[in-house]
Amino acid sequence: MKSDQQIIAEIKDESTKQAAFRELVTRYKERLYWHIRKIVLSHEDTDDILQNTFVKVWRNIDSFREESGLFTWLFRIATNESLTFLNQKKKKSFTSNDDYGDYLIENLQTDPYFDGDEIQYKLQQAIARLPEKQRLVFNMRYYDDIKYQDMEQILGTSSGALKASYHHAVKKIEDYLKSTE
Amino acid sequence: MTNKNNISPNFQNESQKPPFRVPEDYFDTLEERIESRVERETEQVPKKGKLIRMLKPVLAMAASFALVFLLVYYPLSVFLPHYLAKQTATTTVDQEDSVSQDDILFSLFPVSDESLYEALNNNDNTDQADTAINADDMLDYLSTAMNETEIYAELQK
Repeated sequence: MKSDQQIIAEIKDESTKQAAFRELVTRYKERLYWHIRKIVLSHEDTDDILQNTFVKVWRNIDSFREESGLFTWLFRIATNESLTFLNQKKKKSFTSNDDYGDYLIENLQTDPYFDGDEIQYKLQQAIARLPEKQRLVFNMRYYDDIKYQDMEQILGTSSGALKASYHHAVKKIEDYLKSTE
Repeated sequence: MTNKNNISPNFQNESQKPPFRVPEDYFDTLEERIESRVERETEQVPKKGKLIRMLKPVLAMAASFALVFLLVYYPLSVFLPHYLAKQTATTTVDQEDSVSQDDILFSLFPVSDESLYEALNNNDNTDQADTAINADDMLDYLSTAMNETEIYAELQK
């Protein structure tokens, strides 16, 4: 199995670019899909954002300096694309809220691909109500078990602040779940 | 499940997989769709960029002219139609005059340098001859409007 560095080197070479890019998509499509899906919840939105993410990767792969790992670079692009998408939705709906909780909860209620029980539905509602940074950190830590060290590079925030965000998120979710019991 | 991830006793037995599904075969066809999207996007961008780069200065100039027209000419024609019509007529007449004089001078009387110099000399002589007034003519002219004493006084000057 090729290493990430090898795939990047092949993408930067015109003669092997197409095949290596396909390999990169195959390797990371599912992880990126689920990362985006947990941010925007709707499958259709996730599909759009995932395609945008890979288009950006294709365009900018030559400027990738490999100072960070390929995985963190891809997650950073996917996260930024997701947040940009949600911001555009917020502008279109002319909402004055600082967050997109209502939009996300609406997505959750109408999502034909939601596959959880009542407890999981409540948990998703609680996550949707979190502030943006806390939601991102909670999803990455709780579902993907991503290290704080990697999260630092993806979100551009210090480990200390990320840990604090995670614990605030856990506290708020517990409070919400208790209030709806 | 480790303690760091537990958020409630209710979740002790819950899976930490997100509770969502994807449409059937979604991931199987993803590569093809992404590749065709990348192909479309990379074809469109340079064409669009190039066309906009080429048209930008022309469009900017056209927009400036349109703006000047709207800010100056259009309000004048709406609020002061008579003034504008008068100005336009005067300008047209002036232009016609200047054109016709030029036509006459340079197309009907073509002259060489020598003939022009000669004509100027002749004009000078003619002017001198015309300006030299005969004393008898002067006396005739004065006698019609003055008496003899006044005529004598004028001639003594």
